[in-house]
Amino acid sequence: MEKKLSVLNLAEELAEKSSITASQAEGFVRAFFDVLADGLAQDDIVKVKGWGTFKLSAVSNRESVDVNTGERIVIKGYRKVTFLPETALKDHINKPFAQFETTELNDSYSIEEETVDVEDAGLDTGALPHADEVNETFSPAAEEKPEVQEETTALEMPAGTESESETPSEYEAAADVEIKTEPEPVESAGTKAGSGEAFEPEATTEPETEITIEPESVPIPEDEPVMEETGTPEPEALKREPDNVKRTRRPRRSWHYWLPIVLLLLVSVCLYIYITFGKGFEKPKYAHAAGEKENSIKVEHVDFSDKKPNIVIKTDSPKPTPAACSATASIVHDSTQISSEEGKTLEVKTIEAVPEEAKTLEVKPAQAEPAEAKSAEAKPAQQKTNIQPARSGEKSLKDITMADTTGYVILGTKATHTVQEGETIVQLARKYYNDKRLWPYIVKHNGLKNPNSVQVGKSIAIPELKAK
Amino acid sequence: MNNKEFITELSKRTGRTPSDTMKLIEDFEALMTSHLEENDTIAAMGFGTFEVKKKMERVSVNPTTGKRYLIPPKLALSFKQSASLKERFNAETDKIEASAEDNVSRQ
Repeated sequence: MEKKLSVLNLAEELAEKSSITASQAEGFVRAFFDVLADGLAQDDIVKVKGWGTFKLSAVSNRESVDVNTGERIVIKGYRKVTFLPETALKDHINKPFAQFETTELNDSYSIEEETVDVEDAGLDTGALPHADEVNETFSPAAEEKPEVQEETTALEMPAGTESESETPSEYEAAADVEIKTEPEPVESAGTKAGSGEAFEPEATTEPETEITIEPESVPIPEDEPVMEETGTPEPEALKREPDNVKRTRRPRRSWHYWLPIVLLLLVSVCLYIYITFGKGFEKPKYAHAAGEKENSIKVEHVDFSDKKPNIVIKTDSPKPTPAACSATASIVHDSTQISSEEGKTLEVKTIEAVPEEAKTLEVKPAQAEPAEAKSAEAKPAQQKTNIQPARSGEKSLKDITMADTTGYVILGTKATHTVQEGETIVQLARKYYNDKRLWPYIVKHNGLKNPNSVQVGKSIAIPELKAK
Repeated sequence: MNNKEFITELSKRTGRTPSDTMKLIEDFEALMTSHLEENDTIAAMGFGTFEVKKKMERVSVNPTTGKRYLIPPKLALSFKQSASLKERFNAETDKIEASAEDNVSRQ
């Protein structure tokens, strides 16, 4: 019924409704609007009860552009009659839509935006330090081929252990897998030494740890007497592989695009490491120059280590090449630890105490160069951490974190923790166990899909752990 | 001009009593309202047009709190003055300006 009603139409209907003549009705309607207009002219405002308010309001001059000529023209201000219907009339007109109410959009919108932001930050810019590390570790692996992957993972490991990253276990696990599959681990080490220059900085930052990794990784395949326990943990490691593989694969696609950013991040992290561990910075030169030599040395390690660890040490230690010094030093620690262990018993505390001292003591004499000695001293704690797990996990350094995850049994829930802003799983592990490397248990116990992104307010069950 | 003045003026012009006029006004308003409800347009020659327009829903932000609100769609009664009414109210100013322009052109 969308009609256009004129005054006459209205007058007709009004005549019917109010039982007056048509002419009277017409006169009334015309008079009605005339009075409105006159009233406006007189007072600039007319209020009609039951209808609304008519007002004369001024419209000021405004500038516009002539459509045809493009010139700027001024549209003159004028006076305009505005009508404001009474509330009752408004409501009456709006009856069909009266059930609608104004709703607040705040909640749903904000949540979406937040989640998106978090993801973006994690992926792209890496606002969080941990996210940064994750980026590095993931991206290189994604970009390169299997061999290179191994290198990168191996390279990143040290950085991870140093800077308390959460990722090491995954990558080390991945590294283990690859090493196992490859016939000759030594070769991979060689390639690593001669690997792309892009990753050199990382390699240089942690020469010692690298070195330790390689010799230890070799013994894995052969079950030595000392390494008897390897039998049990390995299956677990194998079980975990699929997860790790998945994790590395997922990001691969998208990270091609972020390659440049990731490289920048790598550099920045290297700088960070350099700043925080300034003492160890001088090492890189040696390590680099020594890279090739180290390889050869490592090979020797491998051969010897197959038979007995003690022998390995002796054979290595005699080689005084400055570059190899760090390597030999670390190896020496291992041997000392092993000997101190005397077999297969795993006593973490004693191990901790022994290796630290042993390291520093032995390293100093072995090294002819003061710079290296410094570095060795600067990182006893790191080495210790590396070595310990190797002990309990009885594999290579790369296995360390895996060893952590397999060295304990989850007995139940010890406590529940509500995640606060800024907390990470690693921090929780450090808080509850005084050992950040135990974070994988928390992840496992809670079935967290992405340990790098835990929502604030989530309650995390802290598992009760017992050493195997 | 308030409602009382409006009624007296209208009653004067139509020659009816104010109470009678008031009743007619009520009837007339009810009539217009019923038409407007049915989406009819009321065009009063020489005065203007009453029309019901549908306003779409929209998102509005409270500038002080930053909260966002979804304003539902609604039907609103709009009025547009007729050209003749506009002329009537702007005639005086137009005359003045026209004369001013004439002066300028003469000079």
